[in-house]
Amino acid sequence: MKQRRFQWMAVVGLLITLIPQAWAEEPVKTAKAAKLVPVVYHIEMMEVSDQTWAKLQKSPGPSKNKVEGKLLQSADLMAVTGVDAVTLLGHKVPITYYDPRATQFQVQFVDIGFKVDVVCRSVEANVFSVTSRHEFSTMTGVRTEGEGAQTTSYPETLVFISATKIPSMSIGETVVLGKATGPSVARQLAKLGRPVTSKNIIATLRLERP
Amino acid sequence: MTLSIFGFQSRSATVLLALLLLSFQAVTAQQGFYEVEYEFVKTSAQPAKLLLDANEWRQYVSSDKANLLDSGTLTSTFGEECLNMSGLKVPIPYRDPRVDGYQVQYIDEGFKLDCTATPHENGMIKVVTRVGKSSLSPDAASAYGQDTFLCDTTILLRRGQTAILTTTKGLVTKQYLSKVYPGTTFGENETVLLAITIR
Repeated sequence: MKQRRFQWMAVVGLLITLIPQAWAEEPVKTAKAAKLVPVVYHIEMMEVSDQTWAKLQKSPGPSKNKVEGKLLQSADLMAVTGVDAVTLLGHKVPITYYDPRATQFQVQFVDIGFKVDVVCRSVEANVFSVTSRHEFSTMTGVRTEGEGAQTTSYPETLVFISATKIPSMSIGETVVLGKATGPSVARQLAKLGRPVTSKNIIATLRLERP
Repeated sequence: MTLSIFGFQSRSATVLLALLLLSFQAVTAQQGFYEVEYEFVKTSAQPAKLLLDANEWRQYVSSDKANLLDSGTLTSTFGEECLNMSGLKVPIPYRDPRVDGYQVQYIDEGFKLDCTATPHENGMIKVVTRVGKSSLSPDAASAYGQDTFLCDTTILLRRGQTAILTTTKGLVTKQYLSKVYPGTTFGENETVLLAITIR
């Protein structure tokens, strides 16, 4: 009888020890929010001929056709739907400033170079709405504020920005985000050591599966 | 030989032992450890897919097509934010008129990754990550300017898979990556990949 009581006490003791252990770590919750779909954004900046540009203008919007041109820069970025994705290749300039809301000094960065900030949302199966901000910038000079020890320098940049929203786009489709023409973009490319033969510099986005 | 636990014999003891093992398994499973590896690779022939089996990726990285520039590994627990950094903490002094003196803020330079992984549906793992490599590059605008390659994204992966988070190729790559990786040359037709593997 004594042995039986000891046995049950041992079992109860064991359970009392193990059950709290099993629940000690907060159970890892599985995300059950909106369905996340993996996508790849393929961004290209290229130089196109007048003929190609004229052809692209005839059918604006997403297309299955590949855009032919001289590639200047490209990037792929993998992400899921509904979440912002950013890639930056370039230069970051820190600027310290006083933030009155936080009542302290903060460091803010100015980004220069090739930057893509993009997000897409599922509209229906394999169809997405895409909000994209593509930026290509080069530093041309510096502005200074203040005097003596309180001098702060701010970079001056030449930019080619295409910030746009495509309401409906499918996997495999390419869209022209923007085009830049003129001395500004020519100067930017010259700074990267590329003489411009054509004035049509375009930025494109293609949606792909990983 | 008979099995005996707390005086329980044979069958009862086996059941008790099984219960014990199951309880320990439950505890360790909830810990949800994972290892994450980041790699920067230079290549002139990038893989056809951006999502690969980790072994496939390993073969690619060890082939003569790929040149490993940088890598980092981190072990963590699901749901917890983790950080891995190797590099410099660079002080930026600034004049604070409130104290009529100088204060310092720090910026990070080098290889840095932030990562939070959580289990998702169907055995997938949701990875929220920010990873970057930077190098101090003073210029006219700032003595603390940095050349950088970074990616901030969220992806879904299975254990044992590799995802190429971002790739870059072209004029800007040639211009800046040779500063991020001094001593390494980058051609306009060479691609730099940033990959992540979960184990």
